[in-house]
Amino acid sequence: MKILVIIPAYNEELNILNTCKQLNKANKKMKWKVDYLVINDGSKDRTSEVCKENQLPCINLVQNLGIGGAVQTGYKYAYENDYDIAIQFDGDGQHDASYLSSLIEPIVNKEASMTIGSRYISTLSEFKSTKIRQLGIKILSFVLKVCTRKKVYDVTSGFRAINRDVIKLFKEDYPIDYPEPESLVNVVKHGYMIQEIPVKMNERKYGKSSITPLKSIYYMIKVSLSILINSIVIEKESENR
Amino acid sequence: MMLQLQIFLVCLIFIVLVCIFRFIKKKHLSMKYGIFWLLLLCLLLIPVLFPQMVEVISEFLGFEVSSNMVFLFAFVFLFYVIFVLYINVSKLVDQNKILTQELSLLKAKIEREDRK
Repeated sequence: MKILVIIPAYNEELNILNTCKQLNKANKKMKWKVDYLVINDGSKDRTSEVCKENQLPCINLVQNLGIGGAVQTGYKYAYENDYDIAIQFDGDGQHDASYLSSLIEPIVNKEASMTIGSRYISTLSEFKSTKIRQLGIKILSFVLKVCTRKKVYDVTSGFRAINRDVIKLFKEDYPIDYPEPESLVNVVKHGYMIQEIPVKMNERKYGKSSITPLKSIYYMIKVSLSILINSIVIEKESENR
Repeated sequence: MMLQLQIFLVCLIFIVLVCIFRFIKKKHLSMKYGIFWLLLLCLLLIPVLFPQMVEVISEFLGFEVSSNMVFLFAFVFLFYVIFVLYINVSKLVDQNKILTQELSLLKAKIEREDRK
């Protein structure tokens, strides 16, 4: 069982080393051993140097692509190097590596093709983001439910594991800008099982989140529309087959 | 249409034609798109030289004022051009993304093998 943890990183010079140390630590305790790979998305800070100095396995994108393009690079790498499972794990310290095996297990047991680490289905995570953002996530979750009939609570979670079938799907087609909610449509429409796993998430240690409050209303409208449009377009595609 | 206006418009078209030729020559404009604009300008010469034609067509289509027809056609055409540009930009962004990903993957692979 080959497992790859993909760490997208944009200007994460302060967090990236800790994230990788956490993964090393988790590796010793887990039943499965995971490889990890930092995708440096054209950072303007010293992320690339930090990776080099500490010999972290790293792909430096030659220019900034945005989170979607960066993660997709990881999926391409995972596909080409015959990984069975790929896990997205943010480089900013929000995710907790001790929950990796909870995400891996349902996929190994073939209970799900995709698992999502969720803040909202248990009391594990004290950090649940701001009230306004929670409302936004609830709305997106509702839009996804209406469009695909699948209920996912933490649609924006970037802590997610996928099996090889979904890796193949994502390496071909993955949204660029705010990919987390949008990519779920593709997975559901292709008939793959999604399972949410309760995890603990932390507030980010250093640096700012990529979504500023000013942009969040525009974000909501854009992502809702993209979920809706995607669910229509992909339906048409599968009918044509 | 007044003769002065006709002469002015013909001159204008001629100047733009010369500009397009120069852009093509300097390779600032690719031949594919250059030819499109050259043909378009030549087509524009027709209503300038035969303004009665515009009157006849706009009356036939039911426009009260023939200039309205010209504006509508110009608007629809510009909309079409911008839309085509959007499609081309989307395609370029996608191709650019793929190139960046493949190049970066390849670079990382070469560096890994150099280290061995």
